[in-house]
Amino acid sequence: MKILVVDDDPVMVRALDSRLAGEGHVVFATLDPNEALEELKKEDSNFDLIISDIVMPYISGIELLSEIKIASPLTPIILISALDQKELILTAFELGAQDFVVKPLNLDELLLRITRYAPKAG
Amino acid sequence: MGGSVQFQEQLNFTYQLRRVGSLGEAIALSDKETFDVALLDLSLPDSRGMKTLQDFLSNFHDCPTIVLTGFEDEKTGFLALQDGAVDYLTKGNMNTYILAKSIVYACIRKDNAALQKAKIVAEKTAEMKQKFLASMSHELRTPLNVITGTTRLLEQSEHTRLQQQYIEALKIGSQKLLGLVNNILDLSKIESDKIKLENHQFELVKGLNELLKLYSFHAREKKLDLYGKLDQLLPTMVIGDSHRLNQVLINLLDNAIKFTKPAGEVELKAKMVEETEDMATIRFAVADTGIGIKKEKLVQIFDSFVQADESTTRLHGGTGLGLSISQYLVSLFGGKLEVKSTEGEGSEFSFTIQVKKVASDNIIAKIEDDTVPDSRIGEEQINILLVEDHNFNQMVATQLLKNWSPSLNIDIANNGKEGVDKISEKDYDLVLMDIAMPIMDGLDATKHIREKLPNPKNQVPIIAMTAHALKSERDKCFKIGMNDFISKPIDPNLLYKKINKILNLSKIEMEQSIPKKAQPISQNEEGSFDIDLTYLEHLSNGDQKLKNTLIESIIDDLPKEMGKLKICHAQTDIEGYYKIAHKLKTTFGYVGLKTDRTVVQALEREEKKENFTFDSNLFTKFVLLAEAVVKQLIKIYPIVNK
Repeated sequence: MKILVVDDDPVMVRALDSRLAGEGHVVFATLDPNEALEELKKEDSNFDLIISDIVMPYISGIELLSEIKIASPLTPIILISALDQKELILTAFELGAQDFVVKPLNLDELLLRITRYAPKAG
Repeated sequence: MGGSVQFQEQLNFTYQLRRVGSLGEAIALSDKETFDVALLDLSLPDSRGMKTLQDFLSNFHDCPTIVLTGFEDEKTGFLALQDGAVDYLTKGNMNTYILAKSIVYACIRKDNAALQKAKIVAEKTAEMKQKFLASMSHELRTPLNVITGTTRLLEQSEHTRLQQQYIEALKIGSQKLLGLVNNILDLSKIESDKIKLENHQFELVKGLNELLKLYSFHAREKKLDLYGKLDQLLPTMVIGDSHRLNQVLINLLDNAIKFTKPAGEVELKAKMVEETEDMATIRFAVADTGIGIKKEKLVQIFDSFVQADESTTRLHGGTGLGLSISQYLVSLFGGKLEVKSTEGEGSEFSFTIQVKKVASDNIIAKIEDDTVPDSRIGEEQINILLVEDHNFNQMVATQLLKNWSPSLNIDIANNGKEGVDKISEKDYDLVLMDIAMPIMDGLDATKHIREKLPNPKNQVPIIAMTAHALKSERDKCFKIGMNDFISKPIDPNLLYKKINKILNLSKIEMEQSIPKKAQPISQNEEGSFDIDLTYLEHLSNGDQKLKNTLIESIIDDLPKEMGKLKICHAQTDIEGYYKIAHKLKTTFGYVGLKTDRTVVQALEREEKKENFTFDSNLFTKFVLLAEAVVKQLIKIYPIVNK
């Protein structure tokens, strides 16, 4: 799968980049939401999945989500959120997020959830 | 964690349970009943394994299904998720909390699936509207900037008394136009629930008198009498949002003057209704002897784009947005905008709100605060670079700056590229940067300055000047490293304050960083913070190289984030401050520092308080804690930090 990862937390970005690549995915990981958007807006952008943090400085995950949905309306999005952000999660769902995982992130659970968004063969 | 207690409360839901013992019985129900969520055991008397799930789902298409697997059977759970289950629970580690959590999330996910399809269309529409508003406000603000700026210059040049009248007319006209543009922007903010009231000290009576003065010319022009009836008991200084209060009163005064014929009267009233030791309840009213409003139209006048009579738009102009915005703003103040009117006799719009009083012994200090102490402007030669492609704007801004003080030396660059070149050649104290420019725009120029120029040239303070008034535009400017933002048409007082603040700030920053004298945090003082890398080990999944990379990331990133936090602290940027504190909480989590033992939560709690004040002691503690974490990481992993 081709996966876009955006999180302002370099530790999480590096961990996801390395682990997802280790699972055989093609990963574009960035700390910068604007860079993520630019990547999505490219003509040949063909991400199968986006993983995004929900609280980031300067641009919120919710704002980013709205932009992502315009740039690439059909790409599924999994959000990373804290457990006490239920309201935020609901808003995110209303804006079109498909799924979420809660912090502290269990990477094994995330990897499992990711498999559900793999493009179906045939 | 406080969050999980709250979350547990949310899990107390009521439910109806339908229990069947075989797949056959379940399928038989599929035509008759619908369910919000299904719990499915894969080993049933009449079906086993993944086929159970597949058959179940082909009968219950839209029912979110949680699969129950055998003891610790992660692999089956994995397959079930692939086949369409929303979650799985292993019987070995199931408890009430985990089950309830899984059910709640399954329900949320179900609601979401239906929403998503309809949302895409709605989002596109909203986005188009937002873009339209942004570009329209930009298009209107640019020429407006020219008008207001030139008018100000005209006023400062020599002119006759007659010309002064023309200038006053120009000022009022452009202010009104600006008001309309702002109204349209406000409406979009109200729709997206983005308006929040600020809390600052302001001089209530002085402000009301200034409003009366501002409108006296306007009233005179229409041959009306404007009166002010201000209660003697009104507090001198209060805490609240003066800008939004003014916005409501201006709107009401505008309407009153608009709908009152020559020889009529308009009155602005403010009366103390109730007073306690620290609060004042005040009734504000604007009354007129104008055309009045028909009884049946009274209910509608607060709706957006509705005017009492269609013909009023043709006769008196206006968008019909003012009252609906005013009503919303008054409701934010905790009041209600009310109207009494008799057709042909006049109207009175009124609202009653509570404001905090400021104790008189605090007032003097605050007034002194407002006068921008220790201004550097005027004391020494200050070099400012103005990067702006528009001739008029260059002229307006240069003249404004020169009028403040001849000690300001202004250089001009016509676009971002020229700006970068000039900064490379000469040292500036401040850059005023337009955003939309040919050849290289302000954002690219700033990026270039921050990333490519050598220190200290890359540190030059930059204030963005743009006709884009939207928050997203402002965020973009801050994101690429601009220090502040001012929207066009430029308010000279605001620009002066911002420039002064930045010049003083950069001076202070150079002279003093975080006080080094403070006691370093001992383990006892802040609780033990032995580094615990269990979570990083989970993330790196046994890959030592990755684990080292992650530690390196923290050593690298933490000081940078602290730097940003310092800037937010210095600039009292609450939102930025909170977000960075939030991020740092996660970072501390990586090294096993439980958040409830750190000061981060205290910082976050502070932020949520109504009257947020930046607690410097707390902040210093936080900085020291972060430094201690980095030091400890470097000590443990000296090889990482080569």
